[in-house]
Amino acid sequence: MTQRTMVVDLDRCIGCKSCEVACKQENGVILGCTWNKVLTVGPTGMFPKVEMYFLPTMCQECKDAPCVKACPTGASYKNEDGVVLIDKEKCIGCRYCMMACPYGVRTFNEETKVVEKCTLCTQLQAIGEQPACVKNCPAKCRFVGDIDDPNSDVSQVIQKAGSENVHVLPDVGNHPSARYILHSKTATWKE
Amino acid sequence: MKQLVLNRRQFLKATAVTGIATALGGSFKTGFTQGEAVNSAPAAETKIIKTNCRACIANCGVLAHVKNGRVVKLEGNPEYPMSKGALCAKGLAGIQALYHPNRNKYPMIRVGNRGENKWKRISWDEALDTIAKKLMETREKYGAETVFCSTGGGGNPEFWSIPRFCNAFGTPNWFEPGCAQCYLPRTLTFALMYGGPDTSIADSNCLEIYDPDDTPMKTLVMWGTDPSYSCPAGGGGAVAELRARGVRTVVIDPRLTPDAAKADVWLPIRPGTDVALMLAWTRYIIDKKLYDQDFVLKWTNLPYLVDVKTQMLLRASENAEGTPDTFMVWDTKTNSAQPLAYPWNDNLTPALEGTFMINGVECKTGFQLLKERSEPYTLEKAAEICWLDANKIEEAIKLYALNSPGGISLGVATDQNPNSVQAAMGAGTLNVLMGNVEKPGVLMNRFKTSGIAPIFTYIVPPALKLLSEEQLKKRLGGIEYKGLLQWWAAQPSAVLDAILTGKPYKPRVWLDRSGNKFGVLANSSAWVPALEQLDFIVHMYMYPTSFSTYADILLPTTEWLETNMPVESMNKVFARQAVTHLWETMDETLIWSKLAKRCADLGHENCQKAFDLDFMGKDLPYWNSMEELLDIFTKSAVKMNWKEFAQKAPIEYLPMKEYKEYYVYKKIDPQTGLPAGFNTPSKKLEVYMENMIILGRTGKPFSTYPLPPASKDYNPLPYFLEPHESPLEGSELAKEFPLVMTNGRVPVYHHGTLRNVPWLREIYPVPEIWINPKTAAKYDISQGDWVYVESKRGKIQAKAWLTEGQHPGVVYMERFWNPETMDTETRGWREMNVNILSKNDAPFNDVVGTYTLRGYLVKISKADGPPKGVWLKPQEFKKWLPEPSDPTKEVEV
Amino acid sequence: MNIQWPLVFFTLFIGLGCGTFAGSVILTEWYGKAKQIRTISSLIAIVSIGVGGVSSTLHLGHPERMFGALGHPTSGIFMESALSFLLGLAIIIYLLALRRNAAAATCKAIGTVGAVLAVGLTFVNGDAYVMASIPAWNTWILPAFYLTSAAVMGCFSIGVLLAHTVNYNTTMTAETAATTEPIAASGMIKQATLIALAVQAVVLVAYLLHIASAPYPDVTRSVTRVLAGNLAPLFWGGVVLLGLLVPTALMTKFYTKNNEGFPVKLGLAAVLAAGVAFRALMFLLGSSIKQFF
Ligand SMILES: Nc1nc2c(c(=O)[nH]1)N[C@H]1C(S)=C(S)[C@@H](COP(=O)(O)OP(=O)(O)OC[C@H]3O[C@@H](n4cnc5c(=O)[nH]c(N)nc54)[C@H](O)[C@@H]3O)O[C@H]1N2
Ligand SMILES: Nc1nc2c(c(=O)[nH]1)N[C@H]1C(S)=C(S)[C@@H](COP(=O)(O)OP(=O)(O)OC[C@H]3O[C@@H](n4cnc5c(=O)[nH]c(N)nc54)[C@H](O)[C@@H]3O)O[C@H]1N2
Ligand code: SF4
Ligand code: SF4
Ligand code: SF4
Ligand code: SF4
Ligand code: SF4
Ligand SMILES: [Mo]
Repeated sequence: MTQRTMVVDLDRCIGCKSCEVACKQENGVILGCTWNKVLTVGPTGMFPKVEMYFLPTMCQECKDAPCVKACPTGASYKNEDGVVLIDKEKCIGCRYCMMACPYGVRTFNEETKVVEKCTLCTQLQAIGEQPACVKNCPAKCRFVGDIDDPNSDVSQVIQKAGSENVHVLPDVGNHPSARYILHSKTATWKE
Repeated sequence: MKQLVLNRRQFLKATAVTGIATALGGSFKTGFTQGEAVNSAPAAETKIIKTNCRACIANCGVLAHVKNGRVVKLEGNPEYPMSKGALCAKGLAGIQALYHPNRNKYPMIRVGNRGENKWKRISWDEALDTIAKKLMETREKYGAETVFCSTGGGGNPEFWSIPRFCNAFGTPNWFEPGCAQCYLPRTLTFALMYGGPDTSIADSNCLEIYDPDDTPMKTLVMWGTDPSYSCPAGGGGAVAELRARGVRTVVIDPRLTPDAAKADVWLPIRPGTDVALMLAWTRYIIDKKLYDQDFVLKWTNLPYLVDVKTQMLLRASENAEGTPDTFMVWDTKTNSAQPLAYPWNDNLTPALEGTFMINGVECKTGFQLLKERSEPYTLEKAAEICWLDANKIEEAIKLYALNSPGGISLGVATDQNPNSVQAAMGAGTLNVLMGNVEKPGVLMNRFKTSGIAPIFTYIVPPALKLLSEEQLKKRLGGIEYKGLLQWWAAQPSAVLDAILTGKPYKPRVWLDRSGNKFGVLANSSAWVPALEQLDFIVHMYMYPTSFSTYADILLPTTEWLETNMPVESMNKVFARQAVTHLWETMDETLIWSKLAKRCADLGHENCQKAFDLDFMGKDLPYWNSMEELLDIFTKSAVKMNWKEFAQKAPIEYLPMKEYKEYYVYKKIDPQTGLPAGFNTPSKKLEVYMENMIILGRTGKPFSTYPLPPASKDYNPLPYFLEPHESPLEGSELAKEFPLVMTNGRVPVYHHGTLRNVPWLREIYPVPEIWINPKTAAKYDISQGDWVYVESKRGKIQAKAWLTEGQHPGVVYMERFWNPETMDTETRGWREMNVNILSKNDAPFNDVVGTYTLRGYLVKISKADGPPKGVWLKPQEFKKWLPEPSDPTKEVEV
Repeated sequence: MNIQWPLVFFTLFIGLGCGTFAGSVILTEWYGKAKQIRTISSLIAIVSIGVGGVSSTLHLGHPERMFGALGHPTSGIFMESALSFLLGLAIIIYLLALRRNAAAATCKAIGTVGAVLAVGLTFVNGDAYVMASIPAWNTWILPAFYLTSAAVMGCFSIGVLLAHTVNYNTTMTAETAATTEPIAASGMIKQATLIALAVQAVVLVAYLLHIASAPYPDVTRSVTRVLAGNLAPLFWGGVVLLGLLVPTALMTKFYTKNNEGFPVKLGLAAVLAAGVAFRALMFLLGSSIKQFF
């Protein structure tokens, strides 16, 4: 099966938040809504022995997506590439999908009264381009591709990183497909 | 088009007299924003125009998507060798800046009282005539020097336009809030010590870091610089790449920046104590003999003998211009002082260290003096002064010194306290001692250049010769701080003082082109009484700011998406080209020229000369259009006129390998048959900076005329100066103000800019003050609380961010102002502006007059809530959402 | 999570309606007592369910697209709507049967179908929130609590109806009262209520234990936040005091003389308030495993 998803190399991420604006511009995300946000994890420890890293967050493209299951209208669905998308014409704005998402990465658009989320910029990928946040990332730390294909970009970077340095958000049966790379030299991964 | 005219007239009627915000804001909505046009037009084609960003001092390559004449999307241009297709948040937000509803759209003149904020639209002709008349009157009555100008440090289309105009007009007085506080300490020091570029990543130097496939670099020291935030798209990305490839890093920074968090060693130094640490590094490296002995001996002036009393180098002979003097060394073979002709004499074995009596005169080598200077700074001593751990310091030094090649990049942090020039000397010295000069893998390199933007990356020649000796001598702060001569600038505190005291004369007219001076000048409240005394104030900018509310005339300038400028990046040249042109905005490179023309027409002889082709020569006569000026540079660098260039750019002017030229100093000069050496009078690296002494006494090599000496000789070697507002034991002030304040960049704003951009305010709506949790607990401050921050000079608010990434004795904050409260009593600059707290009085740096932006004392206390009227929620920024409009023709005046 | 008020009132009114109807069917049809309240309790139930339904649509961004849900029968919203619809239908048929004086067995059968639907709806109502993404909700105890809450509300609402339809004769002695039919109904309700309250107390404790031991602990959903933190007033005052103690005290008094059922009315108000409090508490504890934005 195809499962397109995002992989972020946290060893590289410099927390510049360019991706947040890139996403807003490309997708016309309105003020107050977020599809993509960079969190600061830490500093943890005690000065001066501290650790800190940045965690860009967006839809984790769950294989067993609870948001899709919760959706009463089929507005939330998984496309043939494994990307979870929302049909804005069908969405009734009930926000059950927001409750069902373990990571709170869906956002309710108060203007259109429907739920939105990262689309992996399918519109750009469809014309052979990289998503806006990937393309504009200064640290080149974001990768997009089919994680089920061992030859894809994302599979390659994951392989190179070594499994002990590849992390995944807490899985409650939703099987998130996105991956984060973080070496313990940079910081310890915080669940 | 017809509708456009009609609307313009309607506008005029509707808003003849009104406040800035309303005049420039919402009332246009119906007039020019023909939003329907976009939708109704038949499937418009989107053009992609290559241009370059200028939302900060970098120039990242941009692909601007333009549809029906409107910019609809920005993205990075992968061809740009430094940013490689990336754009940071500021760059991407360019559309919101460009089409901001509050753009300054037309020239405006104040009606009613100053500060009453009532304005009337006027024509460009009327605006320029009014200003020129006022300038000429003032010159007539009080002297040209009573007119002064100022500019902003970054984001500036043509930095040298300002000094050039001043020179033409005959005033020696212009200043910039950066300058002695930013970059000048480094450019000056590196120019005098090395004759090559400094090692600031944020200023697009350290070009070695952008070709990661081809560099043997092993260590990178980021000293008071945070590329992740100060140049995310270029330097930040490059450093991330180097780290990923195994380059080890050391970061010296009081706050835990992204680069600090990822460093092999982080030294959270006490703000303002860098020189002590540099001297400790120097001592350790000398003591443990870790330096590159051969290089230091042969390519620095450190073996040269210095007369201890006069501090001047011993010369065997003074040679003709262009040929280095012959200096004396101590030959250990013969145990005697011997002349060493450039470049080297294999028959001599010069001593590097030692004190010698020569003809009854006590002499030491430069190296000996440096060693003695660093002697008191043991690791323990430095640890005590700098609030660091001695072992960590040693670990950092070893990482640097045992892993060559590498280099120390010095950021702006050390430029912002009175020890500024000395820190640049310290960093230069440490690079040189390790032989990290002009070879693969180091930061001090003189790579080739196309010459397309020859004057510190700008094109307008400052035309120093236009300023007379008499006027130069009147420069405020100019005699005492002769380092300012490198940039030809005055000292801001001296200008302020002159206005307030009338001594030595009273400045009366202020022309400013930049953002919000209150946000970027130290102790900004001190400027209010001065502003009230001025006869006339002009503000040129893209939007009204707090400063505009004090002005008499506002001139609308172009955003970067509306400007043209050649840009060089590594081995390629690019064109920042206007993607659109809005309203009646004008590139200020033209504004100054047109102003000079008006003055010339009113009989100003010097201004008339500034238009004379023969007289101006290399300095170029003033221009009537941008294209005229641009053509000169594109024709000489790439043999094309601007138009053609803009179409074809980027152009690779050299293959990468050829462009990256190493060992320039070893290249044989065909005329002399000798190695070219460095761009210093001795052609050696002048680590013992005798030239500082000469500069202080005469103004050489920068002054066009000999100047009287400064009150004190400048020191040829770095020395440490404890911050004037010291937190250490025994400090009276520290009893009331116990915390050391420092600043540093956030990635989403550039200085005072972009606080009106919704996408960015949404990310960072209010300034954070970083506090260690222990300290916060003392004041009962919790995460996210509003706090008061107070120094001797004023009181502001900020939002607490409790972090272990900071010493308990240090707080950090970045500059802020609030465009949303511009029409209130605070005029938008009094709520959360850290520069209300900073220090603009003596002690200043002895060479360039630096005041204190970082490393002064404050106290904090809990506040009940945010300041009145400031916007916090994303929805509030809706009022600033872009209102795209169609391109307009350039204004003909 | 922010309190989703439309959903709070949706489940509150559904609970009230279902509790009232199911309670009434049990009392009147199964035990054959207080038959006079059959119509009025059914009317109250259907109105209550209707109000709940309307309230739930206030939560929707696009109620007009609601029919899209028809195609997705596994979702919570579909089950809830379907059950509400069926329950409403059952109640209407039941009312018609009553009106036409249908045979007792018929009424009992229809009523029983409705009661089962009511129990189902209440459960589904709570079950819709059981999701792995929200640790504080991810337990069957939550729908169990919705059931007990509905039961308690139902008991009090029936209590009020009884108080209004029974004429407490001042001359009646305590002994005669006990043997009098309407009074016997009240006694049953009283007992049922006390049992429901007791079960609810147990479920509540179980819920606290769940929160304490749920995976992915976080301050936003910690027991300390409930017992001693900023949710303590809501918990102790709303859920415990108004939901357990006050109704227990009031129920023990409800058929004393000359009070026109005032204690039961007060009790009903208290348990309704407690129902709101619990639901609010639930939303306030409803933080997802990670709440990134
Ligand atoms: N407390 C404290 N104060 C500081 C600093 C600090 O770290 N802490 N930093 C200091 C430093 S390093 C510097 S360099 C100064 C900077 O201070 P300034 O340079 O005065 O700051 P800006 O407001 O950014 O002014 C430069 C302006 O030029 C504008 N600009 C860009 N393009 C154009 C154009 O085409 N026309 C015109 N007219 N303007 C244009 C930019 O938008 C920008 O607003 O501040 C200094 N002040
Ligand atoms: N986003 C953004 N980018 C910018 C600018 C901007 O305003 N915003 N301004 C541009 C300009 S004009 C400049 S000059 C450059 C500057 O860019 P850089 O040279 O990188 O300097 P800063 O980020 O100002 O400061 C670097 C670090 O110094 C630390 N610091 C503070 N006090 C001290 C001290 O006493 N000693 C040491 N060792 N470190 C200290 C701060 O915490 C900060 O992280 O950035 C340019 N780029
Ligand atoms: S743009 Fe890249 S480096 Fe910057 S915050 Fe986003 S992911 Fe990190
Ligand atoms: S809000 Fe829209 S997408 Fe989400 S569950 Fe409801 S209908 Fe589906
Ligand atoms: S991360 Fe959230 S929104 Fe994305 S697929 Fe998983 S559950 Fe759905
Ligand atoms: S992939 Fe596209 S939609 Fe998703 S976070 Fe990146 S820019 Fe936004
Ligand atoms: S770093 Fe950002 S603001 Fe600066 S030039 Fe590059 S894209 Fe523009
Ligand atoms: Mo600067």
